[in-house]
Amino acid sequence: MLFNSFEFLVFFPTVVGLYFLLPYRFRWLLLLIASYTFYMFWRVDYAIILVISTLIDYTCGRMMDRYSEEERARRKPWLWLSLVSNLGILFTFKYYNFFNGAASDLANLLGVSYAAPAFELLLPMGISFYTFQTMSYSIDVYYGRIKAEKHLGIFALFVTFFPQLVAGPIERAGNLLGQLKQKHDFDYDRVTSGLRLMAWGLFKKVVVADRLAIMVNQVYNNPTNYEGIPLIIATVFFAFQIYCDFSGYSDMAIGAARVMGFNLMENFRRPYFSKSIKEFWGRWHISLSTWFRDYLYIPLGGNRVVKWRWYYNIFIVFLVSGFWHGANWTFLVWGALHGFYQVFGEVTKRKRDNLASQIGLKKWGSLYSFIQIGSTFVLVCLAWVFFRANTIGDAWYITTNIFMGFTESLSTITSSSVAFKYYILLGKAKEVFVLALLFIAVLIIIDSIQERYRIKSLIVSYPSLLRLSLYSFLIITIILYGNFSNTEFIYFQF
Amino acid sequence: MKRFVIKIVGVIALSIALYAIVLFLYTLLGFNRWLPNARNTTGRGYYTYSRLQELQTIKNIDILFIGSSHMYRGVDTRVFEKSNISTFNLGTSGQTPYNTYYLLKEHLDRIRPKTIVMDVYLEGMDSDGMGASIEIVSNHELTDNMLEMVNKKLNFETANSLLSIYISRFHTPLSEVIEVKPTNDYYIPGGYIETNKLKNELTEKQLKNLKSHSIAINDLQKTYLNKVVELCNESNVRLILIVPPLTKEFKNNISNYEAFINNLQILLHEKGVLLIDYNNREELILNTFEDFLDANHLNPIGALKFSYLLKNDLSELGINNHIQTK
Repeated sequence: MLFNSFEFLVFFPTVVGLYFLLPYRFRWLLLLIASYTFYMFWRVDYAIILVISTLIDYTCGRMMDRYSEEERARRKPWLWLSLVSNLGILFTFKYYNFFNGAASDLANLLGVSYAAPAFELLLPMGISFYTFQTMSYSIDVYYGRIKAEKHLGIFALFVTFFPQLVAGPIERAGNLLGQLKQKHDFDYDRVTSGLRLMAWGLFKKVVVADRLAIMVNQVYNNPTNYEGIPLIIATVFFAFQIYCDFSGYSDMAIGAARVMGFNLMENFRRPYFSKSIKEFWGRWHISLSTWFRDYLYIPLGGNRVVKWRWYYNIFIVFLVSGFWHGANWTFLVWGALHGFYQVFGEVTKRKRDNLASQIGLKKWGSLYSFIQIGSTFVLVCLAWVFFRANTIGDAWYITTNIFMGFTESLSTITSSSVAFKYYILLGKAKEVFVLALLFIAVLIIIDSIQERYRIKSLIVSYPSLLRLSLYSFLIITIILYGNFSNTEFIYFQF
Repeated sequence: MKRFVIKIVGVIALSIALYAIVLFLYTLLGFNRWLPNARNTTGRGYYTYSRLQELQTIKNIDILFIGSSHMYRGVDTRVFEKSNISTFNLGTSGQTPYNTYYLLKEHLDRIRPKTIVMDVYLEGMDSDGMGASIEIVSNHELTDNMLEMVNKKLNFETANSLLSIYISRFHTPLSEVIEVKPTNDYYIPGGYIETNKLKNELTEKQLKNLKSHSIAINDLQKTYLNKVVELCNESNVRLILIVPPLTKEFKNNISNYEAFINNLQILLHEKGVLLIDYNNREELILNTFEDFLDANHLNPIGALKFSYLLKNDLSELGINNHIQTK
């Protein structure tokens, strides 16, 4: 089931209504049934993977808990069982065909015969999210950071909690498990705050992301038809599309959970205001970044190692992060690029600081910030080319042609009698292009306000009628401008 | 809880009022193109209004051409007129079998053509036909058939569009609509659209880089194609399906073109309907740059070549003989 579907419009109020009506002791059961129903709207048979994953991790957790901290070695086989089974599921469904294809290509190259069958398996929705969530649980139990959950039902709910099941935020057991056992009463402020966040997330998804997708898909599905300006426009549009798509989903997930009294972790903090790539990763998909920090970067030694090893650790984490996103070379290059940015950023940090001081840039605070934000955005966009392109070949074409053909593009624009005409290059109607720019502007303005103030406090301080009008305006905008035909969330494929 | 319910009711009431005001103003000011979910195209588009207005005057013709833009850009009815064959071209943008069925259901009894020539709009066979539905309903009287066509897939887009169409009818009766004429394109009585663009708009590079894709027919379109066949059978009208010419570059990029056409041919043959593919006719020599407007639409020169061949084919098939070819 998708958050932006009619089914969810019926499902969610029903679940919330029943949730607050039911006695506390039955609520976990309601949410568990609701979560499985939510998932099974997509595929019924794939719910079995959720059951298997839940049972294995529950058993492993309980077995590890039988041994004290001093007997950690005896916990290890159970940790391995959990990790191997989770990664095994992930490998089978997500990565097998990729490795199989790569092996076949390599064999062809070497002139060796290789014939392993390819699986025709549909990638289970949200598999990377829930397997990472359960793996973090097992690791935390192993290190004694949390106690294993005894209640199988509550644990199953932790794995499948519907607001964040298919696209995160990837929750930690330490944050969510405890909340699942708490009693949450109806709280007006909390419920309205959750609904507000859901509406804002829906706006970002169906109005901004899905409108931008029309033009992005046009160019990225046929990139060789374009060069120069349209490639730049489509790439910048994709930067906003993916931000609104994914952060919109996260807002809806956090909002839906908040309505029922659960606090999920923040997943996005206006990432395009970052002044460096390092800062970007502190603001983008925070639940995944912190997961990799806690469960990969730090175990690798983090920054408490010699410099070259530190750089290696950073690079490896981003490479794995790229691979987490998808079994495709494009994602690997995207991850590698971000790893390179980070390492290069660390290596040159002092020199860049000195240069900025010497030319007096630091005295011009706003200009300096603008340059930092702008250059970070450009680097992020360059990497997005690899993330969005269908193949490495397409990505290579775009990166090598993005700064070409300006003369041709400009002559197309100047030969037209229309005054504001970049849309001509994208082959779309003026209105589609202008609306896309308008919605991006609205997003930037709202994000700028949020960067400085707590927008929630601002809205709450407004007179009641103005506040209600604002909500109505948001609803009307969604109804009149939302694109409901392009329903998939980009991150569902991960 | 009481406070929450009051606020929710307030937001809903305010939203309904605001929605009505916005839709009313946008429709009356003709700003619908700025409302992507309220696509009221009354008096706009490629002469759908003119065509549907003229349709009201059409009766007892020899051939009715029906289908997508490939029909109204590809079949020049003047070619048939010269041979004293009465025709009408009821092509509308993006028309699929789903839309064709409702148009025929509405008008077939009155038009009473001897033969219907319907195009297979390859790119629309896997769609829900809603874009075309809105375009047709925007320029048509709101009859039961037309409303049924839109209401079968009621969502925000169709509901908003329908409401906007009602508002515009309330403001301006359909007969008084002043059509916005597209530049470079001219409506020829009989339904054909002639353009003054005589060279292909796409560059050689763009044509070379067309993305390979496959085509399919979904259950909805298959069902309605069958319904069109049944409707023609019931009305004792001969139905012929055609695949209008495409540029070779476009056709070559459809990975399953031959298989799709073969399967469709088998399906239609079982129902006694003839399918003619004009992309496999050696006598029709078309040049991508001289005879086409883009990747798959003919320009007037190409349309003339195609229309003459089509006329000859239909003459050979005996267009005045309205007995079903089984």
